[in-house]
Amino acid sequence: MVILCDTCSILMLIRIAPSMFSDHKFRTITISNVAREFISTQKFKSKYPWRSDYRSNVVPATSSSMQNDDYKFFLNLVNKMLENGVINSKNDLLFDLSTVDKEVVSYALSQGHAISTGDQGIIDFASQEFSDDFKGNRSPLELIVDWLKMGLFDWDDSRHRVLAEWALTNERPQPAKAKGAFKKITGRSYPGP
Amino acid sequence: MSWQGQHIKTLAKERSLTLKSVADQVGVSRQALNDWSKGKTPKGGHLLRLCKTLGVAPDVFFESERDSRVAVPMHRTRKTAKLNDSMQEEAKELASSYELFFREASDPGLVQSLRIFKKTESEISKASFSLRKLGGVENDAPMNFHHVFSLVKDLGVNVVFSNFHEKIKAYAFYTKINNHRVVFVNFKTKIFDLIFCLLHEAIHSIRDESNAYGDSYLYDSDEEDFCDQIASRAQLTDGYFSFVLEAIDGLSASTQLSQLAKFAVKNNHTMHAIQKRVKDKLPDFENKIYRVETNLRKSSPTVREYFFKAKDARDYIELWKSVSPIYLEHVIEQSENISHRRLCELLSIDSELDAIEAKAELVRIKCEG
Repeated sequence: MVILCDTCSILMLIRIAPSMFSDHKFRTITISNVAREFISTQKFKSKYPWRSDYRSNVVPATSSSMQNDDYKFFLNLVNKMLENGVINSKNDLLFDLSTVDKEVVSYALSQGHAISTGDQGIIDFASQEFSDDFKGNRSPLELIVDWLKMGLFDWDDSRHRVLAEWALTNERPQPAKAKGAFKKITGRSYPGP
Repeated sequence: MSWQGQHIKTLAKERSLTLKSVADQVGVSRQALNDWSKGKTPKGGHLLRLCKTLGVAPDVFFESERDSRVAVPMHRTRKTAKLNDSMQEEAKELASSYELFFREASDPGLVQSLRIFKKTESEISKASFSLRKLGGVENDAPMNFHHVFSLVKDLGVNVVFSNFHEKIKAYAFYTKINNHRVVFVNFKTKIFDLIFCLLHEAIHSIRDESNAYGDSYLYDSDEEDFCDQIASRAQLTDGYFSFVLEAIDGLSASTQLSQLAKFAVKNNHTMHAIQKRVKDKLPDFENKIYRVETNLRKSSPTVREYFFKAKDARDYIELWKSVSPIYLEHVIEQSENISHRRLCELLSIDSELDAIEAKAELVRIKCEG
């Protein structure tokens, strides 16, 4: 499973795979605080006018899965470690994660899930401190490639148009390997950065 | 928090485990376990396995030092709300969530303090005069937003605007976090309460330096009154009130009341401030003055509505710069390392997408030096 941690990742993917949170074959979930941001942020209304059409598609993981002892243990561990001060070996600065970042990391570690985020701080923290347990970070394009490989949908013009919009909305660059895999499967070049 | 690795040996012994077997189960060398016992903090994954092996919660290995790094004095509440433990806990929680941020922030250096031990009338006058001078207020003009923000900047106060938990029934409160003076202001605070409450909390911050509060972290009513009086006189001089009284002289009582309300709105002070300072020189308005105040309060915008209306991230950063330059400077310092969601928390940004733009702007400012 992959936890989509960012509203921007959800905004990038939801039109391509509207059932990604309801059909378990997609193996993607999100947490309630991220879903809430997707649903309630007023500004998205004007910037992403189609957002409203997909509100009901963004279903977070059930709250019970964030109440079990394992999750609570990890959240406590992560909180204590960060309060104590963990230095990022890449830049010698303290990690200072938000409440939601901590929830995401704890949930991913407790459930053995990977994450999808563009936020380097979360990735650095999880991979530095939990190298044996952290299942890694998957970019949105890598997820699309995974879904295509699993045959969950065919790549068509309407999906490609959405992908082309990623460049217009200035989304973060995607890994070169994923771009190559995408071209190999679809026969089309990835239009974004 | 500080790592308490010395507990490893005791816990292992209590469970009849040798250190070698603990090390094996955690998947590290005996030497690594020894290093942890002597103070080296293990990585998260190792700590996880250490806790599981010894059957303990992570808390066992951490001692809270929060109180020495984050001081949250008990403060007066909004209106008649009672001060209670849960309010104090929430205030501490809010302040503690900024502990790491202020641990990384550059040292505040030398900051001004206010050493007054005898709370006399002349000391109050002297202090309020100094504050007005520091804020750049001329003659008998009422202190405006520009003055008060400039004053708190000169006093080295980080003003952090945020949405308070409903249990924190205060307009603002002062804290000291890792030696940084911080005043938290509730976004919901009405604009006409802001100058006075910022002044009041700023005075706490400069009183704190002179150990006026000792270790109690409790402001008694004497101290609150004292800070009130300095704040009141720093905001509004006797000369201002003379002018106000002169302006309403000879008018009917109801016209006087509406004129006083106009002064309050124009100069961002409460009707209560008038009542408190020149009650004897006013007709007996009975409760009408407070009814007017209630209406003014209803129509007064909140701090968020007044100061933080921005079209885009760049404007939003500019607004923060104008109201809280010291705090924003610390955010800029750390901008490259702050996650988008953390930035949302630090600058009360609504969405992660805006935070991405805000972060880009902060990094740009940092790069431009």
